[in-house]
Parts: sequence; C-alpha cells; structure tokens
Amino acid sequence: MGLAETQHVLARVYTDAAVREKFFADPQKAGEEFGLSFDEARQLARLAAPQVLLFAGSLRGKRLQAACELLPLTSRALGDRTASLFTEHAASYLPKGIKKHRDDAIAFAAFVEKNAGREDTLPEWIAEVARYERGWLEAADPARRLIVSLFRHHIAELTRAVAGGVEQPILTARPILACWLRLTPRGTVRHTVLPLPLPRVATAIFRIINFC
Amino acid sequence: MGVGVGFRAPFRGELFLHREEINFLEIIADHYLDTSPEKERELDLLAEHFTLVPHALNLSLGSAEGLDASYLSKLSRLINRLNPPWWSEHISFTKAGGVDIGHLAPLPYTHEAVDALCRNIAEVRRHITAPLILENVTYMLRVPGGEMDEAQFITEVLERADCGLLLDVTNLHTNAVNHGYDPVEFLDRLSPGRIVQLHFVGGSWHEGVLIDCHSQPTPDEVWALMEKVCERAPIKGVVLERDENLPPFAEMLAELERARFTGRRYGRWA
Repeated sequence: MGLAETQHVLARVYTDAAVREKFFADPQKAGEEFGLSFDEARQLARLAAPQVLLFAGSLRGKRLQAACELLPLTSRALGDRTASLFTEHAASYLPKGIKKHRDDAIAFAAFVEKNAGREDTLPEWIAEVARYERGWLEAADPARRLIVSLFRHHIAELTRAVAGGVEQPILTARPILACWLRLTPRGTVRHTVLPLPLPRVATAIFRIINFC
Repeated sequence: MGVGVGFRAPFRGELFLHREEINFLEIIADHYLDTSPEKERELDLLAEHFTLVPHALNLSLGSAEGLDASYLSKLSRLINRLNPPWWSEHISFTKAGGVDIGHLAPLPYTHEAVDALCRNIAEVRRHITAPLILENVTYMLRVPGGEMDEAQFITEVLERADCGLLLDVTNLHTNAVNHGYDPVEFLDRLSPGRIVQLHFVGGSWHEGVLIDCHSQPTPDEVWALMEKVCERAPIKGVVLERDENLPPFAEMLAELERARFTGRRYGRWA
C-alpha cells in the first residue's frame, strides 16, 4: 500500500462522478474498499469535497472545450444543449492516451448521432453534421486510409448553413457520398463529396450499408 | 535564449512575419506524437526556422506506479530528433491505475512523492539526453498527508533530481491568491540558480477562484513577480503561454517586448 494506491483512488475520485459520490458519502469506508489501508483511508478522508468538485468540474470543462474545438459545427448546431449532452456522454466514457481529446470528440460525435431525434431540441439533421465532422477527425489518423459516409441531405449546404449561424437550416433531401482518402500513409487527405444520381438507389445503398 | 511564445496554430502565419521578435518557440510535445503527416510537416517547418523547446503534458512524472513506456518511447524519439537546449514537464501526475485524469493533478508533498519523481526522472534520463526542467503547477486542492510545504517539496525534488525549474510565475501568483500566501516569500525559498525558464500569461476569475486559463493579458502582479525573478535568477528564457481568447498578434508581441526589456535590464539576455 502507498502512494501508487492512493493515486489510483484519487484518479477515480477526480474522473468518475459515481465513485466520487460514494467516496464522500463515507470516505473511510470507500478508501478501504478501494484497497487503501486504514491509515491511508483515514488520511485521504481529509480531502476537501468542495475543492475536489471544483477540480473534477474543471477536468470535465477541459474535455468539453477540447471537444467543441474539434467539433465546431456540431457544437454550434447543438447550441445550449452542448454542455448537458457532453456531460451525459462523459458519464460513461473516459478517454485515454496521446489522442484522448480527438478520441473523446469522435466518441461524442457518435453519441450525438445515436441520440439525435430523441427530442425536439435534437433534430436528426444534427446527426449528419456530427458524422461529417467525425469523418474529418477519423481521417486525421494516418492509419485510416479510406473513410466513406452516406448522408441523406446535401451535407455541404447543411454545414454551410450551420457555419453561417442558421439555427433551423432548410434541408435539401439529396443523398451524398463523402469520401476521405489518404493514398499513402504520409500523404495528404483527399476529400470528395459526390451527389448520388438516383435518390431511390442511394436510399437503398444507405439501407444496405446500415444493415451491414 | 530570450523571449519565446507557446506555439498555437491560429497565429502560425504571424510568427513567420515576426520571426526577428521571437527568439524561440515552445511546442506542446503531445501534439506531435502519433500525429498526422500534416502535423509532421508543420513541425519540420517550425524546426527549420525556430529553436523549439518541447513541453510535454502526459509523462506523469509523479506517478508512483512508474512511467508509460510507450509514451516515453515516442516522446524520446521526438525530443532526441529536435535536440533542444532543454525540454519541460510538470511536477504532478496525470494517470494512475489505468485512469487518465486528463490534466495535471497535484502531488502530496511527501518524501515518497519526491522518491517517485526522482525514480521516474532517472528512467527518463536513460532515454532522453537533453536537459529536463520541471514546471510548478496550480492546484485547486491539497492532497492530505503532506510532510512539507510546496516550496520545500519543489526544492527537494530539484536538488535530488538535479533538474532545472520552469517557474510558471502565473501559476505561482494563482496559487498564492487562491491559498493565501506571499509569492515573494515563496520565491525567496527557491534556489535561484535552478530557475531556467519562466511561463507567463493572464488567467480569469470563476466563482471566486482564480483560474490559470491562459486566456487574458498578463496582469500587473505577474509582471512584478517576473521582475523579481529576473533580478535574482540567471534565467535563460521566458515564454508567453497564451492558449485561448487569442488577441491580435501585435498585443502578444507587445507582451514579449515588455518581457524582453525586463530580462535585458537584469542582464539575462542581449
């Protein structure tokens, strides 16, 4: 027992709201359950809850800020809902590693896609904005050589409208295929947006891809 | 070295236009690890025109469980490639038990924490030959069980690990305000000869707490602290660490010029 175990408990208290709540409900008991000795748990019980909450809030704030910078159009489209949605996402996902902010943004975009349409303040077109920005983030990984995404609406018009601050964009139902291609691992990302010729054919392809 | 600025992509163009007014750039090392070819080319371009000082964020030197070998390997490749005059990390920990905290967390001021830092620094030196300097961090909470105060802790780490100090005067000011102590008395307890580089910038208030958000012009109190450090310590460089709410570049150049004048007045650089 020692500093390593104490740091492990601290890391979980700082980053996991459920662990934090359990800890401050009974710090001595929680510390021992987490593997600390009686004396270590008693010492850690002296952690000041308001200060820990402040620090934990700042950690979440940094994640949110990084995600908004990496998903500017999605966060603009979400508006006031961005922070609360991100808090929901952050409750069940903790990124790690060198690319944690990018991974966090990608996961948040996927979360937005999954939840779009569940209520009026989260219209389905926001999912397409999130998926489009997610494509760019994934394409930045040199190991990803090809990314293909289908959109129900004219994605260029949609992202332009969002960038211009339009809160309720006029949606053009136009199936679009977006591709991000890196010919070589060290090559530049090439991006193409292709309108699909026949809406019914495109919808069929979309259904097949979703099915797969 | 003189005055430098933390590199941020939004003002990349301005940097090249004002190359003569900037002696070096501090880069965030993590931005260039496992990165895209585009960022690699950006690094090559910066290295061709500026002296680069890497500043790492996630080595977690204070982790008692030891270092992430994979991260250390990638970081050492980057730093050895750049061959900087020094590079920097933090007196803190960012991960433990498989959990990535996401930011710099304070250490308990204990002998065990000093041991952990020194052990990890010794391991780093087996891979990276460029000199390492360590930065003081802000803290919103104190980890219970301390056996000494922060000034003593920093001094002991620097002496035992034989490291230089990246004294973030904004962090010093922030901690002094939030925890109610005299930053000049704190300065008096550090070894001036260990102070290699400074960070400076302005923060902002949030619910009664001063936050080191790197988003505002440098306040008078931080300039005053910088003056005191330049007077007593043979520092080699200062870096303006503006991350957010970026102003017109001319404002940043004005801050750099003021820092240059301060250092020059005390003979720290030409």
